[in-house]
Amino acid sequence: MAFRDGPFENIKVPLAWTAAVVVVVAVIGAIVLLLGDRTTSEGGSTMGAARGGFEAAAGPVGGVFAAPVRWAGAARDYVGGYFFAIGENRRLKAEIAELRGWRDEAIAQKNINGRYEALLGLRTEPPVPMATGRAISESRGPFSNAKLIDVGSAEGVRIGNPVVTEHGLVGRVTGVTGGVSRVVLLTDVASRTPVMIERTDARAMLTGDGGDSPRLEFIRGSGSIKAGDRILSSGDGGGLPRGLPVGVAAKGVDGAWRVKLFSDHGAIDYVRVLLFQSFGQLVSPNALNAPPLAGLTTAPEPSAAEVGAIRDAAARRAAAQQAQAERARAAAATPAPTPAPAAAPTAARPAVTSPRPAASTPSPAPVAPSPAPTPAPGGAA
Amino acid sequence: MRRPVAVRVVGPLQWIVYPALLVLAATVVLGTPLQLFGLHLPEPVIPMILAFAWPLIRPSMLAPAALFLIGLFLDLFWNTPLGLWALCLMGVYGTVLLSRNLLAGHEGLIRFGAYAACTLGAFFLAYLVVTMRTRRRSCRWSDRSCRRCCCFRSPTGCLSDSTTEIFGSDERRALHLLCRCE
Repeated sequence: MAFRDGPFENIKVPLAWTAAVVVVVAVIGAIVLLLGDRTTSEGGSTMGAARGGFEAAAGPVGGVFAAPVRWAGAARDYVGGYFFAIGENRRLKAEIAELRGWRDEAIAQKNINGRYEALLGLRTEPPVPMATGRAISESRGPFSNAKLIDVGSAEGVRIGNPVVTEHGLVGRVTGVTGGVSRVVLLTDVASRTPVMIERTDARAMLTGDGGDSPRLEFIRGSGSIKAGDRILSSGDGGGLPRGLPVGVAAKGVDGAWRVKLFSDHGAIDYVRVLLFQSFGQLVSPNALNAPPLAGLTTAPEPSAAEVGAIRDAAARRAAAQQAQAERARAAAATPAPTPAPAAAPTAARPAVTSPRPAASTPSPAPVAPSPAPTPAPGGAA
Repeated sequence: MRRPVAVRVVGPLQWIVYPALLVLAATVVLGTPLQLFGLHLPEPVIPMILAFAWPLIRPSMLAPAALFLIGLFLDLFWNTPLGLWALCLMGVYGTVLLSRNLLAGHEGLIRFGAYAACTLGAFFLAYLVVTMRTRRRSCRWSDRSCRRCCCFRSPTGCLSDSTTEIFGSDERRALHLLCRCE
């Protein structure tokens, strides 16, 4: 009996049908996965475990391909350094001559700025620690613009950290494993970054759309932007520090304002991750949530001399109040045709040695007439 | 004396597994961050070829399953929403499977046209999914004037949805003030 002569010999299912069944099942599975892949509150993914595991494996593989590219680039720079040394030297000397003036100006400005900050009691943001990494794999295109970099939670990188190059802002970290992180670039369709226009301090939202130059949306105020304006991160919302350079404003062919990114100027191979979390990292939440004038209850105990002065002032104020009340009673008893003169400035003057009779002394000019005596605020010391 | 004829066996290993591995390797290699004269490496969706060829030439149950896994790999590797490319590749596979009787036997140009149409359709599907995902979570704040301008989001999520969890009520109020519309 041949192998095919079995009980199922006559059952013939077309191959295309069985394939179609698998297709339907797979489509349903894909839709379920799509619905399940949501963004968590801190900017990661609900599928973060799967993505993290994959990236931990894909990182070293991408590193294998990225390393020769890096070596070739380094070799080219090394050789090119010999060929172009003289021209480079001249250019750098000219640049240094130009930068010296800027350096002196920067020192002077820093000095003035420090004095202003001290005068105003300004609390500036502390320096943000950084971690430096290399790009090991990237994806581009209309649906995703992301990179894998070779620093991870071992270096302190966390979800939401901004990523910069020496030119400017690149993107934000959306996934972290031990040694590899996923960076979503500013050009990604899902990227939204609060920015400001440096010249006018107007706010806008940098919205990635898959192209090279992201769009500026919700620009506040009319005439607040023109071509060539520098765009900085605004720090609104606390996700990014304020003032990171982003790019230059330009009008797109579609009439929308777009930003030519500074980070486009060179290959994004070396990046720095700012280990910046939010404003919560910069100040203690207790200080923010404290009720107003909370310092009054925490003031130090007064010294003996201060206690004496306070008691003295309180006694004077009580005496002045009593005198005023008596005057008011006397005025009510005798119906005087003339309006009562202004109340003596007793309450506001604790330095007066004795309460003077109000009728005999005209009050100082600027004091407003108050027909009814009011108790001095805070008199019950 | 007759020479033995080498019979080339095309089993699932040759028809499904090797091409799939080849496609994945090409995808990984093209993901290398290389920039020459300001140009990046191209990044085609190479598995689209398999999604077109597999159902047309020899449909099987194994192929859609392999294609689904390849799609998941692409999603994880490119950081697209999980299931996006799996769905698009399955769409192409299903379409070609349905129109198999129409396509079979045509000349190359027509088949290429069908391939281009399938690719465009898959990209359109991906565009729809991505657009729906980025626009889905609009602002849910009660203030209508604020709703329009507050739909800014962190890299992959709506900032305004989860503002309270992330930033606390004070920052949320600051955001509210920031995006108050004139």
